[in-house]
Amino acid sequence: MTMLSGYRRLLGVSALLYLFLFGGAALLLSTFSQSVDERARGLLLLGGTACLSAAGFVLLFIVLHRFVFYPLHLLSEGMRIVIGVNSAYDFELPRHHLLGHFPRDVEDLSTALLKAKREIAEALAAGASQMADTKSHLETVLSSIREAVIVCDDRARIVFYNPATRRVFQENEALGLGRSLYLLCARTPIENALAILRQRRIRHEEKPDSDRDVAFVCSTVDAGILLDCHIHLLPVIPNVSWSFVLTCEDISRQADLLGRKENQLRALVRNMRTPLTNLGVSVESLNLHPDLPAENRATFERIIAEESRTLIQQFESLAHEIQDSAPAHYGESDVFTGDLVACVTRQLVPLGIQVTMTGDPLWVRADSNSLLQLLEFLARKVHECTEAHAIEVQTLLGNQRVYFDFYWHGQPIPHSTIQKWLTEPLGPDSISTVSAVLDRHDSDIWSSRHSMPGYALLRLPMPLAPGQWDRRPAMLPERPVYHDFITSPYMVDAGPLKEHPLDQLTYVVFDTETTGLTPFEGDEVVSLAGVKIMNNGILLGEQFDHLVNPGRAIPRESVRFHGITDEMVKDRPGIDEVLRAFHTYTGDAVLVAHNAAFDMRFVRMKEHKAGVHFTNPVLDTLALSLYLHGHTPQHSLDSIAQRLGVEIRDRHTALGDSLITAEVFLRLLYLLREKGITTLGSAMEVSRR
Amino acid sequence: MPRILLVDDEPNIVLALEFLMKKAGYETLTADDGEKALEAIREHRPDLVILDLMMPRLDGYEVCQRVRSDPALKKMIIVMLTAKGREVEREKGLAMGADLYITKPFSTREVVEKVRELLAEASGP
Repeated sequence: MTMLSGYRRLLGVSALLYLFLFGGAALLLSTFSQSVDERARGLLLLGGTACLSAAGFVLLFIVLHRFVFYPLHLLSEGMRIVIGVNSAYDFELPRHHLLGHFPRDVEDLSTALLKAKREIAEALAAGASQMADTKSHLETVLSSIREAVIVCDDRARIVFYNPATRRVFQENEALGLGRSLYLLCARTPIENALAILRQRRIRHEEKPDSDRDVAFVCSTVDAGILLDCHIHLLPVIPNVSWSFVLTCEDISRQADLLGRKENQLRALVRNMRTPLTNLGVSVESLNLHPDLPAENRATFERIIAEESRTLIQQFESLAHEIQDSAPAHYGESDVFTGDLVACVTRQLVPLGIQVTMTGDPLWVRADSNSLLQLLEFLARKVHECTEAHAIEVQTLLGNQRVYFDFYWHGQPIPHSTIQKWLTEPLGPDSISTVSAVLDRHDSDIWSSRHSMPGYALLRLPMPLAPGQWDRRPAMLPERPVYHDFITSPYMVDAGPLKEHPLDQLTYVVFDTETTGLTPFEGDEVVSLAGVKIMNNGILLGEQFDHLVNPGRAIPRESVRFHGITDEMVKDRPGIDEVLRAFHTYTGDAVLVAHNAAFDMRFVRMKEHKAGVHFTNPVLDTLALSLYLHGHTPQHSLDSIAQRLGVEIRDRHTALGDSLITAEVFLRLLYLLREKGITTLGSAMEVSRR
Repeated sequence: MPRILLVDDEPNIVLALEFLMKKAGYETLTADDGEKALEAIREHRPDLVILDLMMPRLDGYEVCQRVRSDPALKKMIIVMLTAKGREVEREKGLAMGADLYITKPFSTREVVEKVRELLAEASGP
């Protein structure tokens, strides 16, 4: 660029100088010549000389341009590639030039640079091997954990996850680094657990209860998988104070079985009471009154016979049910009542309900999320029924139970009203009902008069946490192992998308394979693949790769090109399903493709049918390469890859091409930065030129 | 002669208790759901009610709460007799105003004994 413009400037200045020189001479000649003849002869001579020397100059410029300036320009562009992205770059120079040994010297220099870079890389690799060992050891450990382990920042964006996460969330395309956890799990239980943990940390800032996590059960957003979760705040790291770790396990099957079994057992035990009673009463009556009239005696004997039969049946099914012992309760942990009530208080402030806590806080063992929702629900209901704006909550120690007593000035709430609450869901996005939570904690609620005259209360008993008074003293947390990913720069927000720095964006580089080149004449996609780029690196663990049933025969000439046959796609989903999954996968990433217009045309044609719309910005590696290396007509993916030193593998599979395009794109990004193109907006601007 | 109302939707229990209470010298009335029980309570003013908890229409807790909120029925004794045997349910029953909470299965002798004690206390000093 600089070389070319210098060259143009030189040309302009010479032309101007030339005009001046001969113009001036002609003027002088016409002023001082004595006769017309002499003037004409002089002018002719001058004109001839001017023409000849102009031709000479033009020739000189052509020679200079062709053999000096243009090769120099190519050398300069080549040096940028060598310095930035491809040390093994083969300079694309014309066969003839007047630069002498200079290009060879430059090539020698680049070879020396390549060698030096290799040596540095080797030295670095040796030095880093110990660190890599530790890292790979840690990765192995995390890979072998059966539960999903997810680390999130304070805004619940995922900064790390282990391989099991993918399995637990059943390959959900919404799982990705930098994306929100709430695209995967229900928001409320997680936020409730975090609220409790934060409250706990605020309460005990100098010695946090680091030995405790909060356990809860929540469901996934889409597939309805039930998860047993544990959540833990990470130790405070500057600038990322509320990072947390979530571990979870799929318990849909167990929970289903457990719930059914518990219900059956409870019903069976209850059903046995009546026949037992009747039996006891009848036998006792017969014993106590031997002088019973025959008619009454017959009645009791009939009852005994009937109820015995019933009992035997009940017993058989009970024995059958308890054969397998019930597993432990999921999602229960020890929670401090003070933390719970503080969370409820905060949540109800916007509704104008003031909840205050009295008495000593205690520990309960409960499913904290359900309990928090239940407490909030009850406070809201008490407010609705009694119109009291100030509700006091007292926690009392009962026999193996902790009572949550809501109390207010006024009358108790009618039993029939409370009875109606039992079947209500706990909140707008909760599937759990009041009675389900009560049953789970072997509890009940009731309203009666308070011992304080004029006051009434609503009582909720909850299981007492064992070891109430011998809490372990808070220990110093073990030295945590954390990666630099937690403070990585991509977590920074930078206002409107177009002003985002290019190296802080998430990209999905994608490619399609199709039945042909004309979507408007019935050509269809047979394969769609994509890879993600984040933090200047390709996320190999987050690939999208799907074969697509095109709903038509694949022409032989295109099979020859991409190798995908009718047989391979006949049991695959259609484009609308794959496009929906791709939409989830991309989120708000920037889309990148080589000759993006072609792939986007296929995508746009199917958007309506799939019911999704891609509003993501799109970048084209072809357009960027044209902008950066306009000196060459070679902009096929293969040529660019070769120019920028990208190794070519799996060419002409959608995933292979996506990977090559991604590598190419990363190197183009580097060259763009060198030219001062650092934001998405400016990159889109130069692609349009 | 003290009057006792037996409320249960299970006929065999009513049958047995009715027999025993009559035998013990009490006048008995019966009802098989909560609403009939409230009607009988208002009409016949029994001295003691033996009340099942799980019944169609009005349940036992509701009957108990309504009796307790009516000053005219202040002296009525309520015995809850129920299949709800969990500790928390007993606690709830007593909190709702029952004088006695008996879980099924029970011993008839014990029930008669307790009823006699409660009535004696009530008619005492």
